Amino acid sequence: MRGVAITGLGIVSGLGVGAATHLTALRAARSGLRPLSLFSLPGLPVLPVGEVDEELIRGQHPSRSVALALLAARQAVAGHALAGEGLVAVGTTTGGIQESEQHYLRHRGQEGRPDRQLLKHHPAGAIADVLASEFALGGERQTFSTACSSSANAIGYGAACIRQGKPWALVGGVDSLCRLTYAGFHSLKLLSSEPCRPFDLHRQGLSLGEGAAFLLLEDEDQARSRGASVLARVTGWGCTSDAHHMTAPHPEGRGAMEAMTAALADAGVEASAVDYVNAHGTATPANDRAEALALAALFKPPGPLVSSTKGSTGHTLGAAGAMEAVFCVLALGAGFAPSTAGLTEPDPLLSLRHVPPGGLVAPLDVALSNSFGFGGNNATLVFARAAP
Amino acid sequence: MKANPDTQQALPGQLKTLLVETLRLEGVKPEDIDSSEPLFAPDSRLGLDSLSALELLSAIEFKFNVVFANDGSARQHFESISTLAAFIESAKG
Repeated sequence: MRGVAITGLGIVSGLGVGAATHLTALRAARSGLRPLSLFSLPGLPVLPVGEVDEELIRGQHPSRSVALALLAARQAVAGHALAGEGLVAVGTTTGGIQESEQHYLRHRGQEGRPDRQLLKHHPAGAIADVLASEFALGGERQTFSTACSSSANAIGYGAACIRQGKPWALVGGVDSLCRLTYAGFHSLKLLSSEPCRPFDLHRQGLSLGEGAAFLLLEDEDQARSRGASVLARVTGWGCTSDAHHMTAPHPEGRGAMEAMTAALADAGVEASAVDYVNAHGTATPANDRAEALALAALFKPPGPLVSSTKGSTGHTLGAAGAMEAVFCVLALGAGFAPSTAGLTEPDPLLSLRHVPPGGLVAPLDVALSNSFGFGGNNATLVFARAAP
Repeated sequence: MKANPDTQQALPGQLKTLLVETLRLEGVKPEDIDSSEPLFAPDSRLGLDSLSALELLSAIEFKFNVVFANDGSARQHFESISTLAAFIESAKG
């Protein structure tokens, strides 16, 4: 079977831009959460979110999501000429909705109104279209919209395509903060009034975030033959469905466990080989409980070290799987497991082995990343440290 | 100058409190636990089992910022409060 090498990374979030900035932030267990300033909604509180600094994307593109995606994808491609029939796969939940909302607020859907450019990037697939055009990428183009596992599935699909012989895959995800998501999660009573605290006894819900992350995948032999440095490898992908509820996870984490089991089988590694798990860890009472049960069911004690980086970035929905894939690659490369920002008093009912505060310097060979979306859309990715 | 008994006792004392709190041991006071008392002996009055071992391991790692190796060596560190304290001190350098 062909090895899938990760040869490029790009990321932008509330923590800043670029892989190095994010590794520094994770080492410091820094939180990028601050009060929402992008928009205000009458009747809704101003809550902490992982909002991207405006300076990073000002004037880059009329669509906020496209601007974020371009910024991250450009870093991942890093000027490399992607020849032949590869793959562009993008995960997103709401695409260019941020500008569609502005159009609606100005014109309330009246026929023949101006500013129609604001609607140009509304379709979720528009982001992959712009990326393909910007980097002159031929080949296959896909958009995944499986809620919060969207970009994990884009990466898994990209890895599968490389195994089947595609020369390269530009895979990742993006979501910008928008009113629909903010008000929607508020209606569902899932938002925390303070910066989110994954797995904490006093967790009260999630903090939303925005951003984008992209990875460049290549056949490992081909990457090495062109002298590219291999940052890590994608070795496994599993996706399952809870078939349980529109928004709540299966209470015992059944689908979550099945996704992890499938991903480990795909990677051909035993559960005991996993050193670090980047959990979905949204900090909602239900997710953290179900995920902890699934992890406890799968891993024999003491099990792998677990953390959630959503305490640093917030939950970036369609971008979360790709961002957390970048964090796994950074963790494997640096030999550093990041801790969970916001976790001060672990919930004693969750049988988890948390990364100690401040993170842990240790050689890590295998990392697993969970992304569990609304509707029971579960995806797990397995990453392995690159051979020296 | 006399050594400060609080400082000397700090780590074992903290471990005893953590043990009682983490494992929700009813009827056991931290100060009643002997530092050399076996934690997992079959007739141990503390009644710890493999599940409580995991709970205690996670709690120690999180509180003291140390990590037990996955190579089976953790078992020997869990003999008593004294051996746990020795491990934490050596791990913290």
